Amino acid sequence: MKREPGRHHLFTWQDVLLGIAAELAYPAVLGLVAFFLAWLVVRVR
Amino acid sequence: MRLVRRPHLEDFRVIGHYTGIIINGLGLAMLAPLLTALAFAEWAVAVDFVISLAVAFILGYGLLLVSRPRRHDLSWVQGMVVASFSWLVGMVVGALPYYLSFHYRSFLDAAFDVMSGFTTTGLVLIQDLDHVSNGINMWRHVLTYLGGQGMVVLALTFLLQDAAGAFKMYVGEAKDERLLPNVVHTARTIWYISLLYLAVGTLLQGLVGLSIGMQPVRAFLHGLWIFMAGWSTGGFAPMSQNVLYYHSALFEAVTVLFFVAGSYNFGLHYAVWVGKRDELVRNIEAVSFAITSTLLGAVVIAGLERSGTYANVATLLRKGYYLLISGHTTTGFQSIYGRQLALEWGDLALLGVITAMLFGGSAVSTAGGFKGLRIGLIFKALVQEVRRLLAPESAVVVEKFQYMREVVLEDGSVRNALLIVVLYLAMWGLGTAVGVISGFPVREALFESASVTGNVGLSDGVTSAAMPSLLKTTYIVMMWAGRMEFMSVLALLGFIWAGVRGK
Amino acid sequence: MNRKKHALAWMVVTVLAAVALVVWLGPSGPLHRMQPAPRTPFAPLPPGVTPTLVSDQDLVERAQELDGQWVTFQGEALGDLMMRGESAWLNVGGAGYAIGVLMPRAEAVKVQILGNYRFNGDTVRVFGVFHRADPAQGGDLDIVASSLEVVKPGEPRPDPRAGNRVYAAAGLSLLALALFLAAHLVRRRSEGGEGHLGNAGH
Repeated sequence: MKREPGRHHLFTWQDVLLGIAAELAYPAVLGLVAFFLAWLVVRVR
Repeated sequence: MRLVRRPHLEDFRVIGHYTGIIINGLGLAMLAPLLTALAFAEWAVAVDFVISLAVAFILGYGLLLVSRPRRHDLSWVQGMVVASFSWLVGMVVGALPYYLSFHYRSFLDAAFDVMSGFTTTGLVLIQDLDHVSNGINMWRHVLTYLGGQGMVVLALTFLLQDAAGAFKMYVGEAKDERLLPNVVHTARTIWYISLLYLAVGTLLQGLVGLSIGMQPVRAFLHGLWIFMAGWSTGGFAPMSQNVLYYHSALFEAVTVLFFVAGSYNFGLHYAVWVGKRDELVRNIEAVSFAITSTLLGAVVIAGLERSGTYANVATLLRKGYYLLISGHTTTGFQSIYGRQLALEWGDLALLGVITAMLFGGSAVSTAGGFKGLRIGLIFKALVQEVRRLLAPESAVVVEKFQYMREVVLEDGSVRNALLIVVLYLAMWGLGTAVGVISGFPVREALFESASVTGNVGLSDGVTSAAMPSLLKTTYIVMMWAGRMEFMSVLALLGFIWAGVRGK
Repeated sequence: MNRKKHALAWMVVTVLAAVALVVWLGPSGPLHRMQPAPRTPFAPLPPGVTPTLVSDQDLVERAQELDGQWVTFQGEALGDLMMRGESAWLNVGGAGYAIGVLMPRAEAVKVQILGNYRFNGDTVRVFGVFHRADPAQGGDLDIVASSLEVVKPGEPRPDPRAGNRVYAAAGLSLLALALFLAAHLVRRRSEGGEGHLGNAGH
C-alpha cells in the first residue's frame, strides 16, 4: 500500500464517490447472480 | 528461540506503557455510551459508565505511572505482546459496564460479550436485550466498531503489508522495524474511510428504518448501530431477534451492501479510492470471494431446496442466501432463529454455510476465517503444482496473482498460508470437541465452532447463558486467537515462555 | 490495455444485469409469475377451529409441526409498532424469544405502550395463523394475526436506583483524576514538554 507522507487528503471527491458506488455495486452484482441461481433451482424443481 | 529473548524490565515497562495508553483509549470510548445515557436521561446507566470510565483511567494512568520506559520505540515482539495483552485487559475493563447493568448472569458472560464485540464475532450472552438501555446498546455497538477498526490497524501495522508477505509468520529482518510512525499514519487512513462510510451508512440505514415504520430517533439510532455492526462484520443488533426484528427485505438488502463492503481488505478500499476501481475485479480476494460465495451460495440454495425449507425464490434468497453471505463475510446477521438452523436446514445447506464461515472474508479487514487471500494462494499453488508436473524438468513455472499490484507466488507465502489454515482447522476441531464434551450434538457443535473460529456470529442455538463455563471460556480464547490470526497470541505465549525458561 | 479489457468486462456485466432485470421484473418475466397468489391477509377465524395456545418456545422448537395452524399467543409488545400501509408489524416478546406479528392497522392501534428500557410494554394476546417461514413475508417466522387484544396495559419498569453507586462513581472519579494529574506531572518533569495520553506520535 503506497502512502504519500505529508498529504492529509489522499483522495479526491470524485474517486471517493465512484469508489463507494463501485464497492456497493459489487455485492449487488453478486446478489443478482444468486437471484438467478435461486430462480433456476425453483424452475427446475 | 532467538526471536524471543528473555524479557527484561524494560520490556515490561514498554508493554505496560502502551497497554496503559490503550486502556485509556478504551475509557475514552466509554464517553459515547455515557453521553448517550445522559441524552436519554438514563441516569443510573450514566453512573455505571462513570464508574467504568474511572476504573479504566485508574488502570490506564496507573500503568503509565508505573511503567516509564527509557525509550518509547516499540519492537515487533513487544508490539505483539501489547496487542494481545491489552485485548485481555480491555476485555475485563469493557465488561464492567455490562456487569453493572444486571443484564448478565455472570462476569464471565459479560467478558464473553466484550470479547465477542472486540473480535467482531457477534455471539451474545446478554439477557433481556429487548429492555436494554440506549447507553448499553451504544456500548455494545461501539465496542464492535472499535474492535474492528483496531484489528485492521494492527493487521496493517504488525502483519507487515508488503504484497506477498502479508502474513509472514517469521518476520526476521523486519523485527527491528519501528512500528509507531506506521501505526499513526495507517490509523488515520483507515479512520477516514470508515468514518465516511459511517456517515453514508447511518444515513441510508436510518432512512430505510423510517420507511419501514420506525420513529425517527429510533430509526437513526438503529441505523447507526446496525451500520456499525455490519461494517465491522460484527453482527450485533439492538434487539433480540437480530435483523429479523425489522421484517424488511429492503432493510436486509442495505445491510448486505455495507457488510460486504466492510469485509473488503483495506488495501482494496485504498486502491479503489485512489481511482484504481478495476482492482475490484482483478484482486485475488475479490475474485476468490465472488467464486466461493457463488458456489457455496449454490450449495446452500440446492441444500435448502432438497430439504424443502423454503418455498419460493424470494424466501430462498432472503433467508438462505442472506445467511450464507452473512456467514461468508463473517458478519453474523441472522434473519432466522438459531434453533431453526438446527431444526429446519438440512445437512447440505449447513455444510455450505460452515464452509463459508471457515473461508471467511478478506485479509486486513474486520472479517475473520481463513481469508480469501489464503484460499486464493492455496488454489494458485495447486495450479502451479499441476503446471510443474506437466512442464519439462528444466522449466521454471511462475504463477502470479493480483494483490494491489502484480505479485509472484512464492513458496514461502504458500507455506505460511497453509500453516495458518491448519491452525484454524485445528482450532475448529478443538471447539467442536469441547462442544461435544459439553453435551451438544456433533452437528451443532461443528457449526457453532466454525462460527467462533471465523469470528462469524451465526448461531444454531448452542451459544446461550446456559452453556457450560468450559465452553464459554474455550470460545473466548478461540475468538481472540482467531482474530489475532494466532500471531499475537503466539508472541505473548513465547514471551511468557522465554521469561519462564530464563534463557 | 488491461484496464480497457476490464472496463469492457464491467460494461458487459452491467448490460447483462440490466437485461436480466428487465426480463425478470417485466410483466412477462418470471418474477411476476413467482408472486404468491394474493390472499386475504387477515382472514377471520374459520368456524369450528380452536386456536392452539402456544408459547414462544413452542413456535420455534415445534415450528414445522405448528406451521399453518391457528394459534393464540400472548406476550409483551416490544420496541416499535411498524405501520406499513394497511398492515403493521409488532414484535411480541415471550419468555425466551420475541415473535413477529403481522396484523391489520386497525388492530395495531390498540397498542399503547411498547416495551423498552423504561417501560414494560402492553401484554397483548393475538390470534392468527402461524407460519414457520411465511412465503408472503420473505420467509419470516410470523403470526398473521386477525385480532389483537390488550390483556394488561404496560407500566414503567422499576427505576434502577443508582444508590451507593453514585458514591463509588464520585470516589473513583477523584482517584482517576488524581492519577491523571500525577501521570502528567511526572511526564512534564521528566520530559520538559507537553504530552497528553502518551507518546504515540513521537
